[in-house]
Amino acid sequence: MRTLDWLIVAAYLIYIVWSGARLARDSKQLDGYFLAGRSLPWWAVGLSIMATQLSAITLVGTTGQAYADGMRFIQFYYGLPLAMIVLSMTVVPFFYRARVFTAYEYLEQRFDVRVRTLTSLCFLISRGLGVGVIIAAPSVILSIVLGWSEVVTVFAMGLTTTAYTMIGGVQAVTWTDVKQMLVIFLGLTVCLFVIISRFPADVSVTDALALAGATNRLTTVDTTFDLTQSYTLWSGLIGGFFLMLAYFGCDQSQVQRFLTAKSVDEGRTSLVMNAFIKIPMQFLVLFIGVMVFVFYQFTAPPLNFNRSAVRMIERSPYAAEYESLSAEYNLAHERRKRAAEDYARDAGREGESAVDGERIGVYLEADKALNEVRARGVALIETASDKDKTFNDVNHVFPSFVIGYMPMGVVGLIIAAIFAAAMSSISAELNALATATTIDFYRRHYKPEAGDVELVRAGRLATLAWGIFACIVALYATSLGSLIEVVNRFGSFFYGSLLGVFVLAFGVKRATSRGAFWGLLCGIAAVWVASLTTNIAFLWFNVVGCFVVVVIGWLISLTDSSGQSV
Amino acid sequence: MTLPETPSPPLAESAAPDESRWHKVYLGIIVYLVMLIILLWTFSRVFSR
Repeated sequence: MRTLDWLIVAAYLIYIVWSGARLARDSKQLDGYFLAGRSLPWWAVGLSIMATQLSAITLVGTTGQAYADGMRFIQFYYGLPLAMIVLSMTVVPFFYRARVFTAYEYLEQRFDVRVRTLTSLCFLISRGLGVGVIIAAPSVILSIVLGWSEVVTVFAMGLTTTAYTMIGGVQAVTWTDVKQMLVIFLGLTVCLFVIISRFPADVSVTDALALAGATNRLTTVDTTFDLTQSYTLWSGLIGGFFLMLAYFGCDQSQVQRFLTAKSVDEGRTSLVMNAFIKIPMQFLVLFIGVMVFVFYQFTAPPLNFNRSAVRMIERSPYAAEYESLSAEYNLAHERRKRAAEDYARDAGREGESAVDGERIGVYLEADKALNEVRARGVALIETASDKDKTFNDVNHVFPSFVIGYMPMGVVGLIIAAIFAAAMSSISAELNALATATTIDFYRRHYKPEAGDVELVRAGRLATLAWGIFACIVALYATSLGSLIEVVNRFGSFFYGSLLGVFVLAFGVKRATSRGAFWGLLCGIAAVWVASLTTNIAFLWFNVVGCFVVVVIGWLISLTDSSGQSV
Repeated sequence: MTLPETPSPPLAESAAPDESRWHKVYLGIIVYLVMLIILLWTFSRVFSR
């Protein structure tokens, strides 16, 4: 990073904190601090919804995933537009007209305080730990890429975001989300054009697509029905549909976004906007990863993208072996480069169908040989780092490419975009955690008579407390790689089950509070058992959790003689 | 002059046109999704081996 890049990142951080904090004047009332006085336009809410969902690890991880595995991850989002339709028809008008601050508050109106408290507690535990991971994951990567200590990156993200979220409330969250989303779009678009401009002069975009297609990196629809595969058309449409329903309809960090809309129609429109834009935007992110893959056909990639791991092995007894592997890798790259040039030239000149099978075979053979050497490099790093089987460098591909090959100014813009993606998610999570703490616990159980001033003060303190907690979790998580996976799995236990409770609330007239309460506990237990005893992909956990809660909840409700109805 | 009082339409009736507009939007989303999947499928077929 050069001076101009540092200036861009610093200017971004200062501007975002200042622009968020100045909205404090509109956040003195309870309604203003937590719901922006229900005054925001659909486009701001829509951009905020998208910014909240797009965390830094999504941005960095999916580009890396596209580099390594292609675009199949896009299928994860196929259920999203359908989920937006269902939410727009049900949840948005229900929550909006119930005049609630949190999704869980509605459950007390429908069931009882036990169900509200349990669901809100599930949210606080899973999201409280989750937000630590949202800070930790990009902090580790940026600290390696930028050469900062992890403490600095954690606090640069965590504390700046806590500051403006605490002062400006949901207004600050939404309006900074809008600006952050623009920074992300700008960063990604510029990045794509710069990557393409870095291809050799005789390699066109069509040639690049032919190369990516030859290695199956452009697969965007896989019709295989296999429950153990994470990304297929069916897991995306069915599992993804349930996940998106749960995330956008039951997670306070998203529910709070559309509760700030001016009206029910504006809230619905914000979701419709998401339904139309999300898949193309994710396509752009993944496409950038694929173009990075093509770029590295003609420029030697490192044997491993994780600089910290490379430094570690270079100082270990395995240094000589790693060096010899690196030399072998460079030779394999030269072979693949020649094969790629021949293949791209013929594909461009004659059309892909005219390229003879032998030439494709030579290229694929060279690609396979390169990947084998790379896999041996990863195995060696795993051995050197005490058999760390969770090791992978996928998340390092994009940042290391940006630092290495992007021009001055663009590096700063893209690092600012990664910060923007992280901060937009963190701010929404902190704001939602503070809202649930203040409304579902402080006001409901401790001080029902508290006035606006006191509740806003409690909200600010809760934001600060959650921000500090998230930073501590992040610092701990950065030193324990496997904890990140544990927390993510832990969070996935709740989503489908929470969705089941809301399905009972909206769709099952006979459902009682006893049914919802025990159904939720059974759903969480069922997902836990499924994760231990089966190897189904995680997207299906949401279907399992929701189904168990609805069936068990409904059966218990049938035995309940009091027969509560909507 | 007093204008004759016109009864306001029942709530469900007055909400109907708005809901039917939303139903068209939802149908549009489904059509869009199907077309997007077909487009992406074609894209991967064209450039795959």
